[in-house]
Amino acid sequence: MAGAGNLADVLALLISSAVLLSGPSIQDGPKPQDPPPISRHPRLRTLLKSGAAIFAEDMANADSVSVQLFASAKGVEETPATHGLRHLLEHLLVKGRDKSLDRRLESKGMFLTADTFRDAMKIEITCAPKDAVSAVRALGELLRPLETSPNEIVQEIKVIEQELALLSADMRLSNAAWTQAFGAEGLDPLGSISVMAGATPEALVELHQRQFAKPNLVISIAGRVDVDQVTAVAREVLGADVASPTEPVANPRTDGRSGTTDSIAPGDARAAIVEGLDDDGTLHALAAGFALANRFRCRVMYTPSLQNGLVVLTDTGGGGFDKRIDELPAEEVDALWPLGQALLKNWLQGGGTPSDVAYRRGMLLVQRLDLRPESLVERVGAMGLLQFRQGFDRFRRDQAVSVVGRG
Amino acid sequence: MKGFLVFVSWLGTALVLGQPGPEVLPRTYETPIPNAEIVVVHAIVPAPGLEAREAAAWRVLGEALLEGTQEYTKLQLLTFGSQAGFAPRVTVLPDHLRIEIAMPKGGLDVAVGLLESMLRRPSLPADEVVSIASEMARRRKGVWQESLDPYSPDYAAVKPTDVRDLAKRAIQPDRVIISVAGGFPVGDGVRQIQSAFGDWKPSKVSAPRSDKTLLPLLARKSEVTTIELRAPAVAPADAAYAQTLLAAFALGVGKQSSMTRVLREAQGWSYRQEAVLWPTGKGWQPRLIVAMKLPQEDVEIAERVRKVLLEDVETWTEEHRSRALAMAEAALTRRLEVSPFWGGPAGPVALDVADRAFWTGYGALLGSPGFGPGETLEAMKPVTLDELKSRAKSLLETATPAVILGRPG
Repeated sequence: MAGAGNLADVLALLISSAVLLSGPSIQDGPKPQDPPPISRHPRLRTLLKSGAAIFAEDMANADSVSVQLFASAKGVEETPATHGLRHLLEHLLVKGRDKSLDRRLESKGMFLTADTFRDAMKIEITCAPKDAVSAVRALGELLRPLETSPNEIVQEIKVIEQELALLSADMRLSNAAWTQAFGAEGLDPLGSISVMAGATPEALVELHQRQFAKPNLVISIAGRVDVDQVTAVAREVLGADVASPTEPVANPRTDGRSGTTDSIAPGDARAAIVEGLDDDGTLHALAAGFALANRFRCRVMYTPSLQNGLVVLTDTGGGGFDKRIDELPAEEVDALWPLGQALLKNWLQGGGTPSDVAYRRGMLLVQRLDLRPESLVERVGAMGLLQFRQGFDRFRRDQAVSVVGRG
Repeated sequence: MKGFLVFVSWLGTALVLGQPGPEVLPRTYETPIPNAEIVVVHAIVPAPGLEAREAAAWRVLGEALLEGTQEYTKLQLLTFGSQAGFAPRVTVLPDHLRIEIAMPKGGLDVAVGLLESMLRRPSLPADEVVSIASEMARRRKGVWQESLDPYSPDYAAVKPTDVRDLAKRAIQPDRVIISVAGGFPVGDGVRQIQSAFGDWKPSKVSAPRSDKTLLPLLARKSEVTTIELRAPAVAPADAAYAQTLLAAFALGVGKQSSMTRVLREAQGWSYRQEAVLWPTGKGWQPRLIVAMKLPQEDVEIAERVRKVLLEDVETWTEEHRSRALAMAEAALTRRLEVSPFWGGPAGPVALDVADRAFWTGYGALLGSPGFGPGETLEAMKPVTLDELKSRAKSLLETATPAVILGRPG
């Protein structure tokens, strides 16, 4: 059999060589039997020696490009003494060189946004495909040492004070759940004005250096782009590719504590305690969370993380949805299984916008280099009814965090 | 009412493929998008003229439509309707509501079937209507949402019969507009709708009533005050359409807009300040909104906001005009997070498949089904700096202030 197989391989090789050798001449023009054009890789993940990573995906049908810079919070996690300094840094940093970055971007219809999460900071520029390279270079400005002054810090804290006043009831409920579950390790990334008021330019420059150390960085790009071109530019922007002497290490959050707490916000929240995305139980709880959010018209909040965390359901109406979760008949829970699976799969892999794709990839990559949505989707596909039920059980009062709004 | 087959190309250019056809109801428009992986059906139901007590019933109706139909239970509606990964959605605005159902490519007939059932045979179960009304009465909006929708209709007075009567009055084939977008062959969208709705005839209902204005909220229990300068809505047929929209971009879209530069960066008064173009049955309504935590109640604040913005308009140069146009181009050709074109309380509409169905349907509601994002952008391009400044000043000078005072504690 081995011999026959070898012969077949040889014949196949000869036949294909003959096709190549007798291929059309230049004058012939394309013919129906011409081989199809070579497919280019639609996405490319590049891991640099420095520890930084680049992800680029060509979404041929997209009308825009999203370029996102992630800086992991590894080594600079919030503590009561630094609560909000990363958020303040984000506000000051995104002004860019000469404080003119927004002016330069918006003159071309490009737009910058930034978010500080517990596990990372994300800075995003969305633009037309023709401006993708400029967007990557613009993010490069943010890797230079921060330039700020005491006056600028004071002025920006005034703006952040306004931002905190606008915090939604959902976020307030969620923050209360995090505090109940993780105490000081669950501090919200928005911060405390009194801590920020003590910030100095020097301290923020040092924080920037630590958070934006190369092993903490990911550039994630999605949209109608030439993946090789934008990867090359991102590589340039990330600078010399040499191994870092020390790699930042994450301080893992302890196991969450279930229980009941209250909040000044109106409404109720129920949060499932989860271990991180590499644990199947987290995916099962997420599927249940998505299904319950649809069933009870409430909101689900979760930031992809490898750390212990929460899947939070909030209802600012205070209609006792948490009680209804506890009383949901078993057959209704079972009926929600396909819905939860479909919604979670879509969240993980849905075509989405370039911004969604770059965010999903970047947020996973910045936490662990081998974490990809495809593997998560596979695991969600393998979720059985029993596992969905277990995911649902994590929202039951005895296992979960309950927040009672007093507002 | 005539039926039109309007094809809106991928780039948003509208082409009328067919001449006005035979009498076909409801009015149906399609936007085939060859590469789209999903299909979306989008129905717009204008409010039939609401008396004050009916404003609450109208909102309840929107949510109750998702409670199931004679053919589908609520869970079936949710499960079948979420196959593209998005649950069916109903958006309720004071003068119209919209239903949106997405399916994977090839599922147009399923989506149309669900929509047909929701529109023609909604269950509107009495106990669920009561429960929704009671839940909506309890629901608390965020500060920004409350500013966009500063009304608290009387949900306690809603009776299931009010909701049923309203559904019967509003959901009639001569009032509903259906827009289909996504991956289907040209002509298929209209064909599917006509096949499903072909036998739908208007029934006799009471004459439209005139709207009664609800009293807006004047204060909230919060430390945040919201100030709005609200201008009249503009539709594509209006002479000042393009100038008004471009003025909204210059005043309040992006971090280099007047509102952010002046109110946030120079004055330090706010974190969030935006120009919103709000979809009404009469057109896009410019609404300049700023949220402020104030040290004390300040009833003059709206006039101070107006004054500093008017002063800024005087300083505008060609750079301001071209930035506004660049941001308009971003919002009307691709996704822009701060696009001022809001579809409703959930936020801005973009240009994805679902939103393309919206643009065409909403254009039809305004009497210009072929006037989409591309046409709007083209209309804005020739606006000169002088025209822009003049329009922005007039918009600011004539805008009606609406303040919701924050009262902590």
